[in-house]
Amino acid sequence: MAGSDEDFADFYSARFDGARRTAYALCGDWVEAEELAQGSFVRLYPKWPRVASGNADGYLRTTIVRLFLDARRRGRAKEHLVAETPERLDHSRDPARVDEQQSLLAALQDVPPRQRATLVLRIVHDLPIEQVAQVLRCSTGTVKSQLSRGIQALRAAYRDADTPERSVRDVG
Amino acid sequence: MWDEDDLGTALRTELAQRTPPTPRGGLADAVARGRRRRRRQQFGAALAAVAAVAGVATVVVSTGALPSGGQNVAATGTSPTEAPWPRADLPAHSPHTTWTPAPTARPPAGWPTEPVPRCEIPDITGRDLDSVRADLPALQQQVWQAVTTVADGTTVDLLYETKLPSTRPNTRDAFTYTADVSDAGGTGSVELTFGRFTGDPLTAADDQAYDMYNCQAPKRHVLADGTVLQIYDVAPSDPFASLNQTLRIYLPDGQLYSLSVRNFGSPDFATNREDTAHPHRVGAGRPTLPLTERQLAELGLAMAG
Repeated sequence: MAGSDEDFADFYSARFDGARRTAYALCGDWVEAEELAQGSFVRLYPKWPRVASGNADGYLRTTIVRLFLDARRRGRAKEHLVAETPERLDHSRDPARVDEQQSLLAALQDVPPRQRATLVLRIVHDLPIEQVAQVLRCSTGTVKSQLSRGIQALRAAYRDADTPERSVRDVG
Repeated sequence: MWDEDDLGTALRTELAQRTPPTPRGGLADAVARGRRRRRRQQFGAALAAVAAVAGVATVVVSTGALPSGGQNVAATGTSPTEAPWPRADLPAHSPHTTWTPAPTARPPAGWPTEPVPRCEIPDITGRDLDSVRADLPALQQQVWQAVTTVADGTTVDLLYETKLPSTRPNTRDAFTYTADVSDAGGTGSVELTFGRFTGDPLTAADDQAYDMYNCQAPKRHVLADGTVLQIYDVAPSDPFASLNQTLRIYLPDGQLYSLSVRNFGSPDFATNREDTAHPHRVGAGRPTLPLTERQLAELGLAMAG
């Protein structure tokens, strides 16, 4: 029967890995990615009887993106200014960092969260502009500008990946 | 590689090549947490229904429509649906008239129709009603996040802007921002406006304490930075004895936010062909407000923060 627990279990089994990878593209961390994916399935469960016969994939994707953006906003609200910058590790001497420096996914993490979400929805998921606008609750014009600025930011982050002075631009 | 298609292929390929760790939660965890969440939502809906009944009783009793001698239930502040704020230390006003639903726009059968005392509003002819236009995309996101946080289980539609063109010389256009808010009880809405005030927040809040034809002082909360939040009692009005509860926020820098919760939403309007800026109100809406007073207070705190 559509909307049953068995259906939900099948949907979970089929989609969890993809959901976690989408979340990983957004946040760049497997632990947080699992939390985002699992949290989205938790939110989906109570609505499953209604959603199952409709666009469950769209609901899941939308929830992942919104949870990610909410988490980034909450994180930003908790940030506070300090008098001196803390010491930073010299990543240029870290062998494990080399692969990451050449990675598009790593560079994606230097793109501001909302532009990053736009890139993931539009470019990784290949969604039409209108659907991206729906997920992000904004106009199609905003999606186009976020997309353009996101690609520029990604290019800059990818180009600068081999310099240790990478700036953190994790603000919405 | 910076073409969208090539970039998509490269990102998808790299994403597929990553090896994730073994997941920790699994299906059983998702189902267990999902069930708990559903129970909380069902419990919340039941509480909202109780709150709605209590809310109507509060309006009726606090305005003296029941033979209780005007005892003010809302002032007790003990209900989980009420804002936990005291009333402003201002004298109650004496009613100068009563409001009853207009005979041409009566509420549906079963809704309260008792007369409600009304008090005079202050003289606002000298007040600068400076409307400020908001950043719509940012506000859409902020309102969606704030409402869904304070009222888990509600659905919030996309906030939209309405321009109210100036009709008088030396005044500017005004803007309102509205979003439908729905739950099992039906569709209502929140409406926001932004403006400015002169003077300090407490003085402005005092000056505007009786703006809603209210006789009791509004409930008030002052933040450490001097921001004043002021919440008015639920007020019925025509047509259909519509319900409205307003909270105003006076920020130290002179910004004024006004948030109203209403028991009607966009499904209750029809296009007015002669004046598209002012659609016809055709539906009564839902019998209760979509947010409790406490949720409205929490929404105000979220918007002020």
